[in-house]
Amino acid sequence: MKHTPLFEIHKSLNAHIVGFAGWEMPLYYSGIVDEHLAVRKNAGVFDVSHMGEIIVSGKDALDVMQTIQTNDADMSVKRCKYTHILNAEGKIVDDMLFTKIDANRCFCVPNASMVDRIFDIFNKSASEKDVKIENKTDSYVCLAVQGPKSMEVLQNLTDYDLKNIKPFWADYVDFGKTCLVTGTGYTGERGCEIFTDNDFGKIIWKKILDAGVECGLKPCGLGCRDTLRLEKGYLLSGQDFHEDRTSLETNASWVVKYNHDFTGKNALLKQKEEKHDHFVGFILEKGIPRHGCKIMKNNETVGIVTSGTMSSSLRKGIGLGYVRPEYSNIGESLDIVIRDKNAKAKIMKLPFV
Amino acid sequence: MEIKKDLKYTKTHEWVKTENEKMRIGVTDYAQEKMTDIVYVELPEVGKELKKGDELCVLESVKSVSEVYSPVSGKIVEVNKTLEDSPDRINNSPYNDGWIAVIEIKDGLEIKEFLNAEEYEKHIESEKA
Repeated sequence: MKHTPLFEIHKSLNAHIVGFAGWEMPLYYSGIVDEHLAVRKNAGVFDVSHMGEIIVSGKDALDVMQTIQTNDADMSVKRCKYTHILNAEGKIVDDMLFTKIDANRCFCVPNASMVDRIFDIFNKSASEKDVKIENKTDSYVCLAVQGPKSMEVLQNLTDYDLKNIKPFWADYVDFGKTCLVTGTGYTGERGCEIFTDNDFGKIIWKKILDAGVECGLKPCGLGCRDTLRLEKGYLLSGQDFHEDRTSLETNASWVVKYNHDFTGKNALLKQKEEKHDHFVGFILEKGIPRHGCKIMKNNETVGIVTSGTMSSSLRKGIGLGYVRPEYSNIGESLDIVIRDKNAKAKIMKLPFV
Repeated sequence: MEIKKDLKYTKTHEWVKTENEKMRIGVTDYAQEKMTDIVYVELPEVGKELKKGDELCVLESVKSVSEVYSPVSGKIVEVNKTLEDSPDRINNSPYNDGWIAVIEIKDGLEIKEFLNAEEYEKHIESEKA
């Protein structure tokens, strides 16, 4: 099991540690629900250093970026985008964020469990190209600072005007050391992600906790990271897709830009003309849906649950999953099979909150 | 972690308290801590007959689903309905407000098989090791 540079700090904060994608990570400190509500109401800081960092640089960097992912990488410097990386059949291998950190350099953040696979995909498409691909995952600490008061807390730590860190834009910010800051997160709240070296990562973690005490900022684990993203309907790699679903089937088909050639494009163009499953969110009257539960309509299986939890904000069971197109409309009533019993569910507009 | 001296325990982390021919059942402080925030309780029907080891109820935390097994054979005569709206009672008061059900005991011999507080503590230590 791998550890982030902050592992000892988490233990000293009495974090409950679990294994995740080959890493021992904090599941929670004070409690999943408590941390979830802190992020929705105030702020929270997450150590997400297990996430990958792959840097693509050189004259052909844009060329390689366009080939391996669905979104349009031809963009301004300091812009970030969310994207899908597909196989030749159009199925999603992984999703990631990438930032154009200068004219010929892109900073990519794939999921922890997929770093080696994505690094491999980059290298295959980079052969005979003037480009350098570096896997820098072990050289970076990444802290996600999230919640309505997150930027206010961070503003105490720098002279840089953090209003410039708009959603899906990035910049270098001096917090005592220059860090890459992206206006991104996985909670649906205002906030950012800070990328820095392993030593300063430990220092800034402490600075953020100290600066945030007054407004209720809490250290947060992967438990509430999952429940927060679920309430927003964000996909979780390996759970909501596992090289078995295309971008068109998810609720993020907007990440596909057909103005460039990318792996999987032909498969998507073909699927566009066909009927296919749709990714939906649903709420239950009673009970909690879980990964793998069947979705039924009139006693016929019409879909499958890929994620589910008790929503701390709504205090109801919520779920995400794929259903046949004819049953994917908002307001549709469905049954979710939980422990051999049918639970009533209704398709809701995403995000839930 | 609290282990009450006046209760008996099972290896699957239920506590039991004999009340004449009936038995009150819940999960231990250790169990609730392991499960984290309990957010949903699926209670059994009053009147249901259970054999020892049958599923008594299901507790769900944000991240996990755990079954609670009936420590004895018998008929369910009471369930803690307040858990439906306040499942966190199990976290906050596992031995009192967080009780789950009362069962009318069918076989008196079964109650001799439980662990006392000291034995239960040792059992937890052995599970941790």
